[in-house]
Amino acid sequence: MVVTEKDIAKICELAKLDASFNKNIIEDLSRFLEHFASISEVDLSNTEPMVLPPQCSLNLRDDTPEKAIEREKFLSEVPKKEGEFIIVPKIIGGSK
Amino acid sequence: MTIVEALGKLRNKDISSQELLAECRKNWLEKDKEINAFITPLFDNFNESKAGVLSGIPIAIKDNICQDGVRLTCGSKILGNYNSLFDATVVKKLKDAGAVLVGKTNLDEFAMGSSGEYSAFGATKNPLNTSLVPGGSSSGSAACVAAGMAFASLGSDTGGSVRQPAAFCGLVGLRPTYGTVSRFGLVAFASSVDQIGPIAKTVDDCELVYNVISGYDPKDSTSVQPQEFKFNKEQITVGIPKELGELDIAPEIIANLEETKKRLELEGIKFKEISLSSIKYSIATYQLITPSECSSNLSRFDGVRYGLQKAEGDLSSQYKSTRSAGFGDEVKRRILIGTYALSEGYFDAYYLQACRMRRKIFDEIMAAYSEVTAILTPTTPTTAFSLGSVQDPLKMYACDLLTIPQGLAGVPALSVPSGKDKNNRPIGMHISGPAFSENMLFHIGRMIEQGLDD
Repeated sequence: MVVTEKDIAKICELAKLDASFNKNIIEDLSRFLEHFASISEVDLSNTEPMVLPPQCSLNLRDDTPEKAIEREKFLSEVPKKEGEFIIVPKIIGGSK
Repeated sequence: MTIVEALGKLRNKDISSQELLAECRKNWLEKDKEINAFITPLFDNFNESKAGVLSGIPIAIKDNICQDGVRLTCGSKILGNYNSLFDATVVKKLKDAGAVLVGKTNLDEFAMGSSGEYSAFGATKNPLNTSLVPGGSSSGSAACVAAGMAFASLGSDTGGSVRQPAAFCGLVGLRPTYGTVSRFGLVAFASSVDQIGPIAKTVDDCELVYNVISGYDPKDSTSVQPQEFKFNKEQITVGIPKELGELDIAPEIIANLEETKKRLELEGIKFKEISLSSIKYSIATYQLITPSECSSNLSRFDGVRYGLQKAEGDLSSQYKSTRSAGFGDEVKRRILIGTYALSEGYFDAYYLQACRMRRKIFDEIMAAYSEVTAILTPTTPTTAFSLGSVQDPLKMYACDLLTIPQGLAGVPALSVPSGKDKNNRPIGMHISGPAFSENMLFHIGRMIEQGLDD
């Protein structure tokens, strides 16, 4: 298998997901990654990676404040809040 | 009735915008219980539409595009009853053009799918034959136009999610040049590949909608200024990749390609065989890059600022419970693949190698455009398949074999209906061109359409 139990534990922790949705997650992910590994057969050592189509360059705006969404409107969709604050569970002192 | 015909009737006062909407609403009422094209229908929200090039025309929006004050689901449970806080740029442009927005359409969850069966709100069915899939991920967007519930719709296309459902439903679908249609307000799946595109009944209608929604947007950092593409209508050479013969494409579709070629030759189009040897790596490249990007893009869905929240234990536990409960299996699978491909020790072998292969695919496509003006292939390797018939995700990914390369390269492509198979299922032909060549694609697309009418 390409993927091990340790890999699954690690990526689930990184992705904040529970792997129990798929009893065969190790076999399935291994199968996918083996299938996709066909591209590793090709020598691309002299090829630059392409991340964006070349007609684009990242256009950054000026670093000046602009009007965005009104705070009240933004807060209207927050599941748990108190006044202007968003409530989250304990962070410091919680488990990793 | 097409948009062009409807606009003529509206101008001559042969019909009113209320009557157009009423016709769409009637079709929705009669058919959508079965077809399931809409997640949030808005047929009863009619206000007098603004004057504009699409004034009074009912148009539907895929439910991964924000419409202010309207529920946004992305076909997922994880957004709960979230309502968009702003209009996507494309939605604002349609409103300013006077379009009547009739609702948010069903989709494969977070645009990850090729059949319309991966939505948390149930599968969408193909209106032409309800035992078949409409295609995906813009399943509802295609189905609602095919069923007469809207005159056109917006979908989003990453690996073919506008073009493939358009082909399956006998419609025209455009994947624009990357950067020409703003992604501001489109919930990101793979940011370097996603593009919003129109689905419509005819090439003229598709072009009309594209002209409204396209244009530079300073709110989208990958938006580009439009550029003129010049081509000689009398000297078009179309390339057909010789590698099509090595791929698993239905014989009737190959036969249809040959017929389309012959019809276009009668109109003066020349053809040339080209080689795109990297086409066989395009699915693997796409299925490493896009899950990697989506694993990052979907990290925002954590139950803190919006959507579903499963409050359990500490913050990390809450993240895990919320995301595990809220995402469907296909989305989780892709997030895990992407997280693995980006993780320490694997980044170079998977993600970076895929980005190098993306460059190779791009270079080959650009080299082809130095020999030919456009490239023609079928849109899909099969026609629409039966609901429930494709269970293996790897087989599902193969649906996008012919549409993925243009997504990776950032070039435009148009799917146009070109006939039917022996089971009366639509076949689509796929024309792609260099960046900014939408005008040429529409020109060739019209020739395919007219050839079919003859």
